[in-house]
Amino acid sequence: MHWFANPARFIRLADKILPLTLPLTVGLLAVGLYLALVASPADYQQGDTVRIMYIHVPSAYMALFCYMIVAAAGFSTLVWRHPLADVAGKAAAPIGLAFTGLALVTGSLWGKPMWGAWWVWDARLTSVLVLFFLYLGYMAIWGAFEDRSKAARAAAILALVGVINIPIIKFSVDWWTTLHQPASLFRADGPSIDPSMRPPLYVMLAAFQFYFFTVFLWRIKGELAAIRLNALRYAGEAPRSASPKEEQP
Amino acid sequence: MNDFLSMGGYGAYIWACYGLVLIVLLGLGIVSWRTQKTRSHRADALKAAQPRRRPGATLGTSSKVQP
Repeated sequence: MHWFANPARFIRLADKILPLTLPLTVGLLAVGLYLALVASPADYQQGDTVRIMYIHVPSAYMALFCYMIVAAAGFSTLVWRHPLADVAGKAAAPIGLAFTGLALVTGSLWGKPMWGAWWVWDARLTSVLVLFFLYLGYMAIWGAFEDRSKAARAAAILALVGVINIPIIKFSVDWWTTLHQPASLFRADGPSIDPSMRPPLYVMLAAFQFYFFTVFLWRIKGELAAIRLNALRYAGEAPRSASPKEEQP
Repeated sequence: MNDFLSMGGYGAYIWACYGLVLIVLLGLGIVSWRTQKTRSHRADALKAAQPRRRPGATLGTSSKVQP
């Protein structure tokens, strides 16, 4: 992991990876959309609304995945003080926020025709709403401190405390009575979903995953450039307010 | 074509979902891409405009940059 600690080296690596992940994202998304909207059958019970699943489930999965990245980044910020860790956490959070919001809204748009309600305060929906606010809180902390390392540490602590919510989201459908259906994909005994519905779901999962890596790398590059910009501005002001030590012959 | 758009009567819900996902993902992607581009261009420009000098170097001794 310390190999990545050099920002210039990391950017060079990212510039090699991005030309692969961007076309993969676009290609998988195109294939996924075709499979999801055209080539897959309607559900015998839910009719065509089952097509919402192909974006709802990957969004929800990515909401959790991004949080694991943010939490892992927080952990390595606090424990190893890895110089890229806080950058990674800050870069991943808005992507996680977007996916969490999409999971909530697509779920709501699926819930209305199938359950008859836009929203119910059950365990799964409520715990995902908490995840949404955890992302917001994490991003707000980043914006609230002048000092970057203080912001990084405070945000990392919030991210680690919030990890408790992840198993609650995952197992909420088993622990409590809920309207939301139980897991049908990531199950110990294999997926219970009909084989004809698996390809669009898997392709969309892969597309969202590659989307994440692409945008994640862009956002890390943006953060690193912001840090470099700050350092350059500081260095540009330094000669005018040179320290006494520097003025000694 | 109309059958495809109506989606068995659920077209409004389904197309709203797909439209929203595409708008949000596209928007976030474009903003992220543009931010890193403009910031690194600005940093490069600033670096080029500044006198080449290492942070710890003594003022006025040499304009030569150490490797």
